[in-house]
Amino acid sequence: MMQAERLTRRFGGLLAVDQVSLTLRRGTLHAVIGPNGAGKSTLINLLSGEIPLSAGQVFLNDGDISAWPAWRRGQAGVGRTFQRTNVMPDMTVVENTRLATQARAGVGLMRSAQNQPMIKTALAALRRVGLADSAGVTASTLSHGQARLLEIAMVLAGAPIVLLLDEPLAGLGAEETTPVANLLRDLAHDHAVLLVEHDMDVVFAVADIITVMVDGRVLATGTPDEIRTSAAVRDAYLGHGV
Amino acid sequence: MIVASRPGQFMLGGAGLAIASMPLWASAWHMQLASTAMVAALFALSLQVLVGATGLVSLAQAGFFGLGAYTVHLLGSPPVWITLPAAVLAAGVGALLIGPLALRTKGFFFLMTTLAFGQMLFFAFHDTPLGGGTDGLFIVRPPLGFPVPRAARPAVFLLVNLGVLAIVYTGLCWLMGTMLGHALQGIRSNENRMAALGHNVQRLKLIAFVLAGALAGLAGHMSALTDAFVSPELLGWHRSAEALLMILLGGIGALHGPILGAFALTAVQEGGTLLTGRPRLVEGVVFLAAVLFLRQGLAGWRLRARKGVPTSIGDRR
Repeated sequence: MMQAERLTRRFGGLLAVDQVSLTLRRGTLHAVIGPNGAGKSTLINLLSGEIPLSAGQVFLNDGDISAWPAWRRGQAGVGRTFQRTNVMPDMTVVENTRLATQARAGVGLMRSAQNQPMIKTALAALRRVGLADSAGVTASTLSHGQARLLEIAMVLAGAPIVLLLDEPLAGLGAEETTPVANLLRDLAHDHAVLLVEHDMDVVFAVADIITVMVDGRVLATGTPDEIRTSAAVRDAYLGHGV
Repeated sequence: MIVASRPGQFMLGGAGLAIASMPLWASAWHMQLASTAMVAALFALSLQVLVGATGLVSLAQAGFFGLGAYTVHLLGSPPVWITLPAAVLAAGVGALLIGPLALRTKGFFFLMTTLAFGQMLFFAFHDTPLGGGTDGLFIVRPPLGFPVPRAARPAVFLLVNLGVLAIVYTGLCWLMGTMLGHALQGIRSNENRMAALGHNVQRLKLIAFVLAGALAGLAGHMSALTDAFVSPELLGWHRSAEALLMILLGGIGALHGPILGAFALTAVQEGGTLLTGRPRLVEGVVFLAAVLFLRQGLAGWRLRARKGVPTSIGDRR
C-alpha cells in the first residue's frame, strides 16, 4: 500500500502539484485523469522519487519514504513506467527485464548474469504481458506497442508492490489497446496500481477509483460512476461528450 | 560492450602467442616497442571500463596511471610484489577519493570535472618535491625476484607485460558477464531507467571508477617497471586523451578494442616517426580516416552495424 499526503511540488512560481493526497491499495486500480499540465506526470515522479518533494509525505506500507532517492524506492517495491518508452535500447528484451529482477534481488554483483532463477522470473514477466516470443530480440527493434509492453514487463520483473503507470496506452493502435487494458485489469489483482491515462474509454472501463486533477490540485475522487455524473468534473474537464 | 566471439578470442590468443615468441626472432628494439604498446593497451583497457562499459568519458585516467608509476619511485623500489599491489592500491584510493566528487556531474560536466581533477594530480607531481623534477627522473627498477641480466631485459619485460595484459583482459571478460558488468552496461544504455528499476547507479558508477583507476595504476606500475623512468607527463590530460583515441581507433563497443587501438596507435606513431619525421601529422590523418571510415574501430571491422551500440565517442547520447 502506498500513501501520499499533501504532496506539493513547485517549479519556480508554478505549483505543478498542490497538496495532493491519495491512497493506493493492493487490488485497486486507481486512475488519475486531467487535462495536459494538470500535474499527473509530476505526481508520478514525486511518488517514484524521480524529483524531490517541495512539501508533503510519501508512505510505503506505513514507512516514510519521502526522502528516499528513486533507486531506493524502486528496490523497495515502487515500480514505474514512463510516458515515453524508456528501456535499454541495445540490450535484449529478456536482459532488460532481467536487470529489473537483479535490482530487486540485491544479490552478489560478482555472480554470473546468466542466473537461471532470474532469467526465469524475467521470462515469467514477459509471458504475463505477452512478449515471451520476443525475449531474444534487441529492444530497439521492437514495435512501439511491444516496447510499451516491455516497459510493463520490466516493472513486473522487479516484483513491485506498487505500479505507477504513466500513459501505458500512449501511441497504441486500437487493436493493441484492448489487450493492454485487460492486462491493466489483471495487474490490479495483485498490485496497487496508479494509472495515468488519456484514453477515457479505457480509464472508465478498468478503473476502480478515479481522481481528477486540474491545475495541480485534486478536483474530485470517486468511482467511475461518481466521476461521470459529477457536475464539477464535467464543467472543469470532461466537456460535453461524456 | 561486445566481448570478442570465440574466433575473435582465438585470434587474440594467437596474437598473444606471436608476441610471446618475439624473444626468439625479434630485436630488442621491437620487443621494447611491443612492451610500450602493451602498457598502453593496459591503460586504454582500464579506461574502457569507464567509457565502453559504463558510458563515462573521463580525462582523469592518466592521473591514476601516474599515481601507480610514482608509487614505485616513492616507495624506493622495493621488490615488485610490494610495488605492484601498492601502485594498484594508491591509484584505487585516489579514484575512491575523486570519484564521489566527480560523479556528482554528468556528461560534458563530468568530462570537465575529471579534467580538473586530473590536472590537480598532474600539478601535485609537476615541479614539486613529491615528483622530484619537471623533466622526470630515472628510477631504480623494483626487483622481480630473480636476476635479470641487462641483455635479457627486453624479453623479460615483454613477457611480464604480456602476462599482466592477458590476466587483466581475461578478468574484464569475466567481469562483463557478471551482474556488475551487466548493470554497468545498463547504465551506459539508460542510466535513469536503471535507477527507476532500483539500481544504485551512483554506487555502481563509483565501483567502475575505482576499478578503472586501480587498473590504470597497475598500467602505470608496469610503465615504471618497463621504462625505469617516471615523469609528470605521465599524469597529463593529453595522456588520457590519447587513451581515448586508442579506444576510438580500436572500437568503443568492444572490450578488446583498446588493445587493438593501442597497438595500432603505437605502430602509427613509430611508423610516422620513421617514415616522415612528422608523426603527429600521420596520427591526425589516421584518426580522420578512422572516424570517417571505421566508425566501430578496428574491432568493428567484421561487425555489422548494431543499432544502439555506441560505436564512437561522438555517438554517445
